[in-house]
Amino acid sequence: MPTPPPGVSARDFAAALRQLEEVVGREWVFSSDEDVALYRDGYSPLWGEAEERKASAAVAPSSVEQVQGIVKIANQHKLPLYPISTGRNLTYGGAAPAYSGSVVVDLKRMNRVLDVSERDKTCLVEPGVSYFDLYRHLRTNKTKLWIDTADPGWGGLIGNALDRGGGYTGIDYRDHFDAHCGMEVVLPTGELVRTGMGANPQAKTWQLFKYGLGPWVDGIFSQSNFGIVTKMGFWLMEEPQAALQVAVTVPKRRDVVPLVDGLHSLMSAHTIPSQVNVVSPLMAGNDPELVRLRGSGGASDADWDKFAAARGGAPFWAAQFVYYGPRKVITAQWEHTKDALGGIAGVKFAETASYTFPLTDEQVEAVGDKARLGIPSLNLFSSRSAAGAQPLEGHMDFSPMIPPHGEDLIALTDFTGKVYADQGFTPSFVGGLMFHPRTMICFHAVPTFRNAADNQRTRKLFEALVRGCADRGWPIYRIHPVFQQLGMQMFGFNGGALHRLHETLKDAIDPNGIVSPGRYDIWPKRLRGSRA
Amino acid sequence: MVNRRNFVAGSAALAALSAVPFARSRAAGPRTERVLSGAQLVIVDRALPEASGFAAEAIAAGHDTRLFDRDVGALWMNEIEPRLRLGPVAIAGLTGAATLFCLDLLARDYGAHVVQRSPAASDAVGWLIATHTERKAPLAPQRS
Repeated sequence: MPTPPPGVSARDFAAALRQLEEVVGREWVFSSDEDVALYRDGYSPLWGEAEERKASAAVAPSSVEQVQGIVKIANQHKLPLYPISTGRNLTYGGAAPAYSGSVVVDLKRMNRVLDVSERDKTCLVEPGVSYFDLYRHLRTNKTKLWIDTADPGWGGLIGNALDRGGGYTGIDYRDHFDAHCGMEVVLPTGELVRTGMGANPQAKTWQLFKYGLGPWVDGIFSQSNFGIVTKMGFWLMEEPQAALQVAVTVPKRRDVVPLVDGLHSLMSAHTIPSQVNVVSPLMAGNDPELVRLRGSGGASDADWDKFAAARGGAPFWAAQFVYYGPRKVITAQWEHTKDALGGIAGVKFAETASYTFPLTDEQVEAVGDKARLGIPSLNLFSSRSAAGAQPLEGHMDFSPMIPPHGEDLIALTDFTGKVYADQGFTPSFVGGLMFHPRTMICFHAVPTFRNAADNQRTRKLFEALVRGCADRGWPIYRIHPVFQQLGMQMFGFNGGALHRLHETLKDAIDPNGIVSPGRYDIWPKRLRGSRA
Repeated sequence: MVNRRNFVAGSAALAALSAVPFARSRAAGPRTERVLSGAQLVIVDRALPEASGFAAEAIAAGHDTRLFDRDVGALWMNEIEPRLRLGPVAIAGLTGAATLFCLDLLARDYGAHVVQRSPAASDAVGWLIATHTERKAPLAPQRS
C-alpha cells in the first residue's frame, strides 16, 4: 500500500485510488513502489534523504474528460495532484512533484497531434506530444514546417513551453511560451476553459491570434499551479530554402564587449534570426591554471590573455548562429554581419555548415547540430559517452539571466567561478545563450550525487549561486522545485508583493489547493504551513 | 522485412565486418550471445571500438541490426519507440553508457527496462531492454 499524501488518511487514499481506477481504468493508476519509481527525480539534490520529493501514486488519463474526473476526485479527498506532460527535464526536477505525496497526473497518453495547418503554419497538440512525435508527424506527412525543439528532444512541447523553455531557431519560435497561441485548461474546479480566440467556438483564428477579447490570462498557467493544460497551439516555422551556420571568434577576453553589443544589434534588426551562443572555448575543462584563474574571482584581462596566448593563441570567445531563408538573402545577411563586426581587432569569420532544404533522411542523420535545424535528437548525451562519464549522477541547471552586455558575462564568470571554488567544486563551463531577444541566459551545471554528504555541498553551492547572482542583478529565469521557494524570495520587491498576488490567485482559482501545491512556492491556504 | 534502411544498415555492418580480425570478433562472442538472446532488434553505435564485432555477430545470428553514429535519437523515434508501442519486445544493443541511460529512461514509459547489462573494456555497454509484462506504465501496450 503506497504512503498517502500528508493529511489524507490511508482509507481515504485507498478510496481515491479506486475512484481514479474507475475513471481511467485499472491499468492506468500506478501505486506499487516499482511503478511509482518511474516518477522519481534521478538527479535529485535530496536523493535518498527524508526530504526528497516523491509521488505517492500516479494516474495516466487519455482524455480531457478523464482529467476532469481526476480533478473532481482530488477535490473530494483534497488529494494533491502534480500534472506532467513528459516530465523529462531532468535538470529541473524531472517528473517528481514539488510537494511530496502528490499524485502525478501523467499526461503522456494524451499524445495526439490534433491539427497541423501548413497554410497557416500552426499546430494544436495535446500535452503528451513530444518533440520527437511532432517532428515525426511533420516528416511523415511531408509537411514543409519546422518545429523548434528543446535539446535533448525527448521533452514535450506543452511542458517545455509552460516551463518557459527555449530552442534554437527563429525569434518567433524559440521562446516556446511566446510561440504558443491559444490553450485549453482544466481548472482546479474541473471547469474547462479555452483562452484567446478559442473562447469563441466558431473562431477560425484560435491558433493565429493570441489575445482574444478581455484580459489575456495565458501567462498565469506558466511556471504555476492554476490548472492542467490539455491543449496548446503553437506557431511553426516554414521550412526555409537554405540555412548557413557560422562562427565568429575574437581573440581577447575583453573583446566580448563589442562582440555581444554587435550581435545584439544584429539580432534586434533581424539580421541574425537564430539563437546565438557566446561561449569561451578556452574556459572549458579542468586545466589547473584555468581552475585557478576562475576560482580567483578577479583575474585581470592581462592574466586571461596570457593564459590564452600560452594555449596557442586560441580565440577567447566564439559566437555561433544560423541564418535561414533564401540563399541570396542569407549571403547578404552574412556579409552585413562581417561588416558590422569587422572592426574588432583579430575577429575571424567562418562558415561551419550549409544546407539546402528539404534534406533526405541520410542528410538529416549527418547534421552535426540538429537542434539548430529544428531536428530533435539525443545528441547531448553522446558527448557523455566518453570514458569516465557517470550518467547515473546528474546535475541541475543554475540559469541566471543577464543583460546582453559582455561586461556582465565577464563579471558573472568571475563571480560564479569563485563561488564554485570556495565550495570545493570545479567551476562550471559558462556561456551566454541569447534565446530571448534582449537577454542572455548563462547556464551553469551544478552536479548532483547519490549520497547525502555530497548533495549537502551541492545544495550549499546552489544557494550561494542563487543569492549571490540575484544580489548582483542576475536572478534566475527558472529553477528546480527543491529551490523554488529560494528562487521566489529573490523576487521579493515590496515585501514579496508578487508572491502574495500569486497566492491570492491560487486561493481564488484553486480553493481546495489540489493542483501542484508548492510549485514555484505558490501554496494553497490549507498548506501554507508546509512552506519551510 | 527488408527495407531500404535495413539494407543500408546491414551493408554498413558487413563492410565493417570485413575489417575486423577474426580473433577480435570471436573474443566478443560470449558476451554478445548472452545480450542478444531473444532480441527482435539490435542497435549498435558504430563509433565504439567493439561495434564491428558486435554488429557482425548480431547479423550472423540473423538479428535485425541497425547501426547509428553516437546520437540514438532518430533510431529511437523511427525504430525503437514504434516497436515498444506495439507490444512486448526485447531490444539489444551495444552503446555508450549515456546512450543506454537515455534508452532505459525512455523505455520505462512503455513498461520496459534494462534486464541485462554487460560492460565492455571501453565505455561501451552491451545490454538487453525488454518489456516487463507485469509492469504498469503510461505508454505500455494495453493488456487484453
